[in-house]
Amino acid sequence: MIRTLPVDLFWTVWMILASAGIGRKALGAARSSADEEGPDAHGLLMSLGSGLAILSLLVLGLGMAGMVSRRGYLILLAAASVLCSREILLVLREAVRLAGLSIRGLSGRFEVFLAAVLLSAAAANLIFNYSPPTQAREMLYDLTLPKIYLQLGRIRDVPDQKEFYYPMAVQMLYLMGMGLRSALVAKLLHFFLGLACAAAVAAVTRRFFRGSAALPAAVIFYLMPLVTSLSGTANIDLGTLFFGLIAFSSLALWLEGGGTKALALAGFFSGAALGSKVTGISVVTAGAALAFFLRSPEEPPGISRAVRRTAVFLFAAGLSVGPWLVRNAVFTGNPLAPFAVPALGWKAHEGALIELRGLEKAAGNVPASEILRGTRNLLVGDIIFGGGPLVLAFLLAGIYGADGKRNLRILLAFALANFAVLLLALPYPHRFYENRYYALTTGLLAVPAGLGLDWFGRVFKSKGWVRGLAGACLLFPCLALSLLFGARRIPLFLGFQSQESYLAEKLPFYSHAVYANKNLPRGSKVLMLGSSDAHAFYWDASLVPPSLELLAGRDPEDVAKLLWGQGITHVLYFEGFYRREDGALKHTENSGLDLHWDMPKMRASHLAGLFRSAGVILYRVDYSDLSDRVHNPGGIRFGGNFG
Amino acid sequence: MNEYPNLSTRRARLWALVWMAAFLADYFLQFFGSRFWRDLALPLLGRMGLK
Repeated sequence: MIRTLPVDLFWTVWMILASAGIGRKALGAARSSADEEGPDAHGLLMSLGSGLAILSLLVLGLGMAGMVSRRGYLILLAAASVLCSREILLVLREAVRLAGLSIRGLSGRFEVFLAAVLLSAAAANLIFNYSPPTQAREMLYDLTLPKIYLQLGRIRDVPDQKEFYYPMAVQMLYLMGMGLRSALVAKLLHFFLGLACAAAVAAVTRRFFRGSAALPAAVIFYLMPLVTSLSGTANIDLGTLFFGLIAFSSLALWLEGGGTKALALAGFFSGAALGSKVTGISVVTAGAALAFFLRSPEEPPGISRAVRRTAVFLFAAGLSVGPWLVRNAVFTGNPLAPFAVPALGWKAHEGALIELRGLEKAAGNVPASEILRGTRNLLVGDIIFGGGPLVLAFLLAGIYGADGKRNLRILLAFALANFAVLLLALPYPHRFYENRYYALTTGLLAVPAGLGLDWFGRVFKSKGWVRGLAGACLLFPCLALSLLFGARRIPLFLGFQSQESYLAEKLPFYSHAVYANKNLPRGSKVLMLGSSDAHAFYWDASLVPPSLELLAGRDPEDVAKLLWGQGITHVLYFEGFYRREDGALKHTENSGLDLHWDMPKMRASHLAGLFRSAGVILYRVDYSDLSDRVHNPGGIRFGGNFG
Repeated sequence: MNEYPNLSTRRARLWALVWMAAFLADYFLQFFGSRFWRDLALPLLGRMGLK
């Protein structure tokens, strides 16, 4: 892998630089502020965020118009680079100067230690990241949908998964990266978004609080197990987090007197957070609440002013999230797909209905002890996807030690509003066990944590012990986790392990994909029964989840007719997820996937086993007794997913 | 002039220390009883022949 790294880095960095140039041009900041008051990290991050959001929307628009190809993306990248060449050079110059200043500004052993920890974690995360995709979500849709679009040569309605209707701002950048080069470029983009988030935390700390706390805050943030775990994947969470962080930064700037442009930018970035993940609705809600209740110093009070501010914020958010609603309206007639709005006659995707049904049943009987356990998991943190030991431990010290108390109140209000919206909106068990959804709150709290570490270092005569304690926690478990994830992939990275053997080792059902790619006819459509974690990214055939009607079918002949009608050619049955109970096959984890098929009869009449491994069986659907009696109007086709 | 108005209060420092100790203790309590060992460390040690 190490041999291809320079080329993949080249494409990734080019995309990032072009984005920053586009953003800089769009913000009208063509003049270098470096000449007057030194490099402006804050401005660089705003340019990058604007550019990434604009580039993503360009890719969406071109894709909808039928242009998804390597040649098209080369022309787009080249055109952006030429049109924004002056801005790109300025960005590059400022970034280099900023890096130089940061290195020269390191003073004292503790700061050198923090910088070394940060660089070590970044290096380990890079090795962790630079490996074939193996995370469930990236294989289900983050990289799979761009792969399908590249095969189709355009962005069009693909109704296989409910997730395909989510807003996909970051996936559009992945689409471009995959079109230009490979999925590894998409993964590297996500890795760099993690570094951009760390830079944003440092910039917020320096700009609104205290320069000496910027490095501790960035290190506490970047070393969070949550960030480490996400850095190795092409999940899009670090993109949502980046847009959320710069949305806060713009809001804080507006509240300092930055003018309507800063408020509009905050709205635009909040919309981009929502445009990259549905949970980003918390960023828009929290931002709109702040825009309504707070005002900049020069603005007079009044309800009409508050409404106007909120309208500006929401209008700007609509600019970045609106295109995704338009896409859904064009594809399905429902802008909010895959979710339903019954009052307006907008129907849900069946996948969403099945998931909600499972979640409703799971939420039915939650004992108080479970709520306590979940709350503790959320606050103290999941070990792999949590905030690590330092964020909350240094929070109170940060609150005592923060210089800008007004800015601190704004930060805490934004972070807590984001947290509260998610806590209220998310269904159980996601509410307590999907810590990554709360990444913006955790990431923002890294700022007071950094201030707290800095404050402790000032208020105690003997500051060695507190720095030693924080340093020890950064080394273990934070850096240890990062090194562990990186070290496990060193044989692959150095070329001592093949990608095939790595995938076979990491993915329990990879052998199914290999078998299917060799043996299934072109255009096959495989129904996943029991789980969607079938590593779809590696299949040539399309993988689809079951419809409600299919799950409820009992009689083998009726089920076969439904399968025929939906163009299903094969079934991938996750046997281990089902146990027979009350005449049905009960799903062990998600009651929404309970199955009523008579499997022995189905096997005898319509399912021919092809391949079995790890408790998962691939069947070919046998329609021989059916094909002469039932008319199949569309053959293998999409359909029936919106009910 | 005191740059940090809260520094003068010993109580602030004490609360911040108690808060820090409580969260660190709870974090590591959760950590050492967690899936880190079951899913990561012990299998790794096993593969290295150290378990």
